[in-house]
Amino acid sequence: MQKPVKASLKDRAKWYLLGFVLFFGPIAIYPRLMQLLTGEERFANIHSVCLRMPIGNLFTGKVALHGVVSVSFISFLLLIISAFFLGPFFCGRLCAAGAVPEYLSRIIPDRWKINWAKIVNPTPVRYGFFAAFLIAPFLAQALTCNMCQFALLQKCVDTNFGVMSSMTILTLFFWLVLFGIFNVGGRGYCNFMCPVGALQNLVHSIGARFGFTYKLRLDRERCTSCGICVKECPMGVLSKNSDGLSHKIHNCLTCRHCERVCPKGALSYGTGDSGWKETGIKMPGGPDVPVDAGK
Amino acid sequence: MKTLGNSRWSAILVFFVMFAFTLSLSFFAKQTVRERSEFRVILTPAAAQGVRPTVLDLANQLLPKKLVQPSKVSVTTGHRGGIINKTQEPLWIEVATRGFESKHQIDSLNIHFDKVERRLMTPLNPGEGFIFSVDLELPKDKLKENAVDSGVIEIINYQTGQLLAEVPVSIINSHAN
Ligand code: SF4
Ligand code: SF4
Repeated sequence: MQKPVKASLKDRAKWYLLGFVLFFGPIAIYPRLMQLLTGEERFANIHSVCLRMPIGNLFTGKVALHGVVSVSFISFLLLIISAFFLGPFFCGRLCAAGAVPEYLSRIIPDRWKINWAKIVNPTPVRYGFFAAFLIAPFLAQALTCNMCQFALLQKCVDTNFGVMSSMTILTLFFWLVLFGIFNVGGRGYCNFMCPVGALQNLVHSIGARFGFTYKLRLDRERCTSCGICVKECPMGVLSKNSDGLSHKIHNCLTCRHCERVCPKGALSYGTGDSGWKETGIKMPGGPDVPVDAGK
Repeated sequence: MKTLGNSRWSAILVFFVMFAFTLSLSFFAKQTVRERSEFRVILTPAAAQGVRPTVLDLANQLLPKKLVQPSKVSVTTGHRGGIINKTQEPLWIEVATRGFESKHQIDSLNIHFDKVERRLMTPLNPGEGFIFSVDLELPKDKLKENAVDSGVIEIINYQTGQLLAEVPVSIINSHAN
């Protein structure tokens, strides 16, 4: 593995570890602090932070299921605000449930892995899932707890899987196996089946239109289309085509791995114009925003 | 290889395929509710109540459960309120069990529930609910029998020793020969 790749993975791992101690039991610093503030009395682990419930309840009118002054609802608001100004910061820096399959997939030889993002454009898949996730409570069964990868990671940490339903077992298979360690990049679950990620990217795609917000930027003058970032992006959102490099903003984690591995310093994260030329968008945000071919 | 969903129309198609697939997962999830059994108890001032027997049929287990965890089952109050105190006074809840052959434990997301004592350490005030589940590890050699296990869940006021409610539970396998 190249040096910058290793260094980036190491540095990102530190952030995910921070996310782990912040949100997951037994340490779970964040819910403990928030419970002091809100006076809520619940077990301090990922469940009390639950970001999936408020999203799953967006159309049912129960977004603040545990009240407006609850850890879950305040966290939900913080998630949206941070996504608007910073991009999906939670995904890119703090989500241990997304990082675990990504890092585990690096142990598996590439020939055993499926490149799902190459087979199918993850943007319509992600939003197809998200739309159904929002209306599922009205038609059949909400997919909040039974498809929760955060709860599964907490179970792994507790080394107690308890009584699992068929749906939870299937989710474990999707998250860790099919779209996890046997998926190029390891982040198929993030790409396809996480409503928390989908909502943040939706908000980010709006926020990124403003100059004062943070986003992934491309310096077209510097990019040589070498393709290193394309190969390294864990979400598979960068691609090379006849127009140059393109980027799917609706799936980018803003994890900044590409920025670190780019030998030319062509990618960066900051405010201002993104540098991705918004030609070639065939539907909102996807498939791609190709770089100006005439650079 | 050509990536599906890169042109406008194929993206729309992919969107709807995933939408339909996710909805089918939601219907599948609805089926999995039958892999556990749920009961409701309303605690009233009247004497100990016999609650309708709750039956858990292992034949309702779907394939992933059958393959991975067929012997671990849950009898639960569900998440809609749990056992509800409709009396005028606070109740000190203890959950006891009798008659089960399987290893089992009582679990609750309520922070005041002591799993060892099986007691709610703060009173259940009038109008409040308490959610818990009895998680059983069924004997593997009995999974294919018609009557797998049975027992009773007792709700007791541990301050007065009064039995508040009894929930008879039977675990069966209607697909057994
Ligand atoms: S998409 Fe979901 S699982 Fe992936 S990093 Fe974001 S919140 Fe975590
Ligand atoms: S494009 Fe860059 S910042 Fe976005 S997910 Fe890929 S590596 Fe991370």
